[in-house]
Amino acid sequence: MTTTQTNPTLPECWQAFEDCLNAGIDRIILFGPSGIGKTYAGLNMGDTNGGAFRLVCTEDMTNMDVTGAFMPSADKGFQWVNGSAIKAWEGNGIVGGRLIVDEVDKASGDVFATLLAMLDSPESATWEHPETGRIVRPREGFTAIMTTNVENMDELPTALADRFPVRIRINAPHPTALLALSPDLRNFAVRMADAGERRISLRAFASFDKLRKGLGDARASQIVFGSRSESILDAIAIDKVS
Amino acid sequence: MNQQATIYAEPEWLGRNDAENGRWVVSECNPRRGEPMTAIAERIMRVPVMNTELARVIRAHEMMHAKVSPLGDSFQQWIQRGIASEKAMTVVEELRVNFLIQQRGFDAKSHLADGGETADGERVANTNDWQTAVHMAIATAGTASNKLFLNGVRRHNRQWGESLADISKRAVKEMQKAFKTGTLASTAIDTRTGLYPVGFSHTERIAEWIDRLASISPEELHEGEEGESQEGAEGENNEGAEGEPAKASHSNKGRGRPKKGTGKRLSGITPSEYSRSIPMWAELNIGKLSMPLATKGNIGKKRTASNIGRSPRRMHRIMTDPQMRVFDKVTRGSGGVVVIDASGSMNFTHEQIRKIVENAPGATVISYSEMGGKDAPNAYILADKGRMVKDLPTQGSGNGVDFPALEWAVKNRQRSNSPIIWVTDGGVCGTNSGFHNSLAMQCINFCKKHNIVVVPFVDEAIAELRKMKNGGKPESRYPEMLRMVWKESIGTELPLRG
Repeated sequence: MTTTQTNPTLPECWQAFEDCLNAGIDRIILFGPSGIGKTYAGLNMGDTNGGAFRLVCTEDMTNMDVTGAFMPSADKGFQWVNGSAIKAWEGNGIVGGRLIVDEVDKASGDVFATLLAMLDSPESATWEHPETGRIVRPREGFTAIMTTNVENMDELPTALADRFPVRIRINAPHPTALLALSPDLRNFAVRMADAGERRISLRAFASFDKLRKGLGDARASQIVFGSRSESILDAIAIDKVS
Repeated sequence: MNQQATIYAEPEWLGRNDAENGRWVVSECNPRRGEPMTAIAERIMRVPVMNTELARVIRAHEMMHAKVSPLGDSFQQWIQRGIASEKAMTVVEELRVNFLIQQRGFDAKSHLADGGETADGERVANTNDWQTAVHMAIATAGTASNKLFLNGVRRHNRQWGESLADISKRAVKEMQKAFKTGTLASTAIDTRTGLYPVGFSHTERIAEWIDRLASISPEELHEGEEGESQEGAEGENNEGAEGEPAKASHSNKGRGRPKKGTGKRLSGITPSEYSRSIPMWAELNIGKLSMPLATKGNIGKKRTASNIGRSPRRMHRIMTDPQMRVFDKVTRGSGGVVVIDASGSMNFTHEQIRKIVENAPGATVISYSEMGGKDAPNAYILADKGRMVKDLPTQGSGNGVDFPALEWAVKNRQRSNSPIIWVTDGGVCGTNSGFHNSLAMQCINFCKKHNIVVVPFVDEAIAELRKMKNGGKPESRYPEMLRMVWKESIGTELPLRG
């Protein structure tokens, strides 16, 4: 039997993500509970020399965030400003960058359609610049990481799912993210990251950690965990038994 | 305190070395004995959710189970070892959990009671159920329930009340001693035996003691002394009442002072000492040897004349035998199994094995000794079904499989009434470990249960077999070491013969 708390190696899910990036997989879905570091990993892990561009999907967003839009300029005219997807396609001008699409399941219909075009395979993906008429294609090295809290991948639209054959469930915080917490809280953060309806995010642990230094465990717990405060403190007390 | 608030337990916070973390299903129940529960393997917990001290302590109790108690499969492994009964281990585990929550600041001593304990105490005392009384006392020891339960018992049986109070106190003290070892709550896996959680070894050790305590009631233990003191009590009553016998014939057992010395005698039954390594038997691995020598076989098949039967074979007896026993009656010996401890402290010769089978035709002779090496045989069959080995095999110096060899003998005896003789000097040891009281007690209890004759030398086994052959009743002569263990554990003498 293995144990999560004493395993010094990279958790299996993060190891799988790293292996995929190293193998050159350019379309990956990271799914699982929120607040566990999926977006952080998308922005920072692997080769991001071409830059990493984030797109947070909501129902009210428009294609402007994806491809770009004409924006008022300093000379009282309008100029085209690229959206995140085009920025990622272009990268640093030499190699393509990385597009991180958060909560793709929340995007509206037209944005979703544009995203499908942007995330198509490099051979088919093209976009015409509305100002210059230039045909833009993703540069070599463009990668896309999609993150979602949807647990059942069958719920994703087929067209999107087809574009992302590799899906990794992230169920443990990344060890580097845990280093920001005090040592005595790290194991708890790992256990509670995927605790279903009683899940507690890394951010909540970080707040508790900061608060308790000045206010003590009881008060900090009350502020951060609210009505669960008592049972959480009891659980911590029991876990410390030796 | 806002009692309306709902507080669930949070078992996901708990970490163990012998199990992975995961999501739990936590549901609510009443704060009554029997309702809260924890299934660790299935990750299901049922706890009261009220904001009261009782509910909080019960939640802590269930959480501690989730933290330290064995999972379903591993609990089965502990049961299968046969050192302590399932029931005893269950109640001692309650004690361990209650002790640990008290250590972590949950006031089980003041709050862990649901009010039904007094009635439980009265019931077990009324029904003379000593075993349940001991189990209840242990399960509640160190909590508010214990006092209530003992009060109930005392109402009907003062003597039991005193004895159970003493047992409860000693059990808590044992937990305190175990706590000082630093392994009481350990969920590590024992690398030598593969057993887990390691902290449960304390539960098993104390449970073995509880089994002994529960097996004999104070009345049985102090039968002789009770008779004397009762006579004394009657005498006093008669004197005081000037010829009125009313008090002496009162049937209520709960009245009067407890019998003197009962606690002292019960305290003679002590738990075995804690050892750093978990005592464990090796798995019996019987090596095959060729058996070229023929001896008296077929379990002593013998034909005698009889006056009833199917085909007459002795027709001449019509004329010569007044009872006309013309038929054959086949009688067989009862066979038997002789289990020989072949460890370094013992010795026997080929000639002695031959004598065994001569006196018990068809008997099986098995010798055992731990050789070292994982797959090396630790037992050999030296004679079986009328055949025996030509040369004795080389065997090791350790024991390792005393109990498994006895179990094998019981399973493989020719008939249910075939005698079993165990030749041992009593120096029973587990695998890669030294002598351990709990292992020795396991062997003694097993021998008593299955009427196994225990003798220290092969020559005595031969003498016993000869006695049985001539229609005599076999007799054990327990070796010194086993008698000492018995005395230490039970507090009474194990008869030298019997």
